[in-house]
Amino acid sequence: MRSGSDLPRRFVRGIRVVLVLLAAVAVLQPQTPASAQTGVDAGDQLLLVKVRQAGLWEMPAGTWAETRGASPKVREVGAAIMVDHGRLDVMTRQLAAKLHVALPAEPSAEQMGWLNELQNAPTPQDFDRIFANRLRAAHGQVFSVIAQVRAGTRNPEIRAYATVANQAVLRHMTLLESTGFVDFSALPQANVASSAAPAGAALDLRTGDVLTGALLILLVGGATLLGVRYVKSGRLRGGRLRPNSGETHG
Amino acid sequence: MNRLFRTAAPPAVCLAAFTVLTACQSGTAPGGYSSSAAGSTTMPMEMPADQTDPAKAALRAARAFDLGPVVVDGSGFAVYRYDRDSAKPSRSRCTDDCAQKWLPVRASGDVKLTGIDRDLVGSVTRPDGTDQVTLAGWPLYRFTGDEMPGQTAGQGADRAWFPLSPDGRKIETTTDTWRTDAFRI
Repeated sequence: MRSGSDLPRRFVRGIRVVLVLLAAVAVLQPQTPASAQTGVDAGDQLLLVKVRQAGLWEMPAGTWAETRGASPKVREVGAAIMVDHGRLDVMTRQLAAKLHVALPAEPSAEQMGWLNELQNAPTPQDFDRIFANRLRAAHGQVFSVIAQVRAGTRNPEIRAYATVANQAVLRHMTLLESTGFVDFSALPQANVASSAAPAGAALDLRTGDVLTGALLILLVGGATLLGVRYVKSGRLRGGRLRPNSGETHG
Repeated sequence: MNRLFRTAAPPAVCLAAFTVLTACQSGTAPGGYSSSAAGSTTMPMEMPADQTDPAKAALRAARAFDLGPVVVDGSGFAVYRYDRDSAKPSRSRCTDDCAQKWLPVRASGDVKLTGIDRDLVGSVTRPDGTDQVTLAGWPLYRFTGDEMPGQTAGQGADRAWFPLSPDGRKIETTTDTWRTDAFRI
């Protein structure tokens, strides 16, 4: 008798636990960034940050190249990179401000290292070689970020911006190569196969989405289990009136 | 014992699912950028900024990726010409307040030229007695609104101010018109 009235109560308790957990998840959800309201996703933000940071070290590098470069070609390329990155930086900051994307104010530690390397170049000839190779490698990295965002962004302003940045960066890669100092064998090889669309890409699913789905199924499963228990216990109570059905241990 | 397990198991499954779920989501959350990684580092060298130094008076034919050939000064800043000035003979009509906003490029000593025809470069004496560099006769200015090398924030101001190409012609192309032109059939 006692256990019979206990079952629905336990079910309610179980449901209550689930509800509390649901509420907890709602509270624990990461705060929506301000940029989400302006239709900017993580890739869009990364693009603006990467181009900004590229400019932060390539502008001083270009300025130095203009005065310290041994070869006239390096001096010329340095001036072009300085001017272009100045223009790009203005566009980047304007768009970031409009889309509420926070930008770094300083180059990364790695970029600082490259600047120090340039500054400590023993000879102008060493400077030329370091300048061409470091900038060419860095441009290659930014280039692929631009390409990916240009191809997949949902934001029309980011799309237009990526078009412009793509032109600038492709030009710089070409200019740096024109110095004749770039060691192509030292550049990371294109890894197109591994970056090809993974399973689920056609359905526009990311790994995170798949995982979320799996966990939601687990969750629903748990709730269903509760429901089944409840129904089953109801039947058990009824079972006392029907002697034929024996108790089962599920 | 069995009953306890039965009561506890479903919420436990839910809890486990939720915990992982929440952890995953906060892990992939596109949070705002934090510059703390760049933290304590400082720039090894500031951008050269002294454009008033006569020793640095220089003009360079640069080539902006979107504007094409454009004249910049020794620090990479764009120089401008003013439609209300005249080129033949050279004369500046930008004085007083105007010259506070648009800084005449001072002609003192030799101007270092890179990629620019020396025959096109000259100077004109301003109403206040100072000398100003000219290109193809046009008095040259720096715009105080430009903060970066290559920036052309003053382009089209008052429908009279424009950066110049190395032959002294005004540049009316903007990034927008360039982009439209570059990608149309």
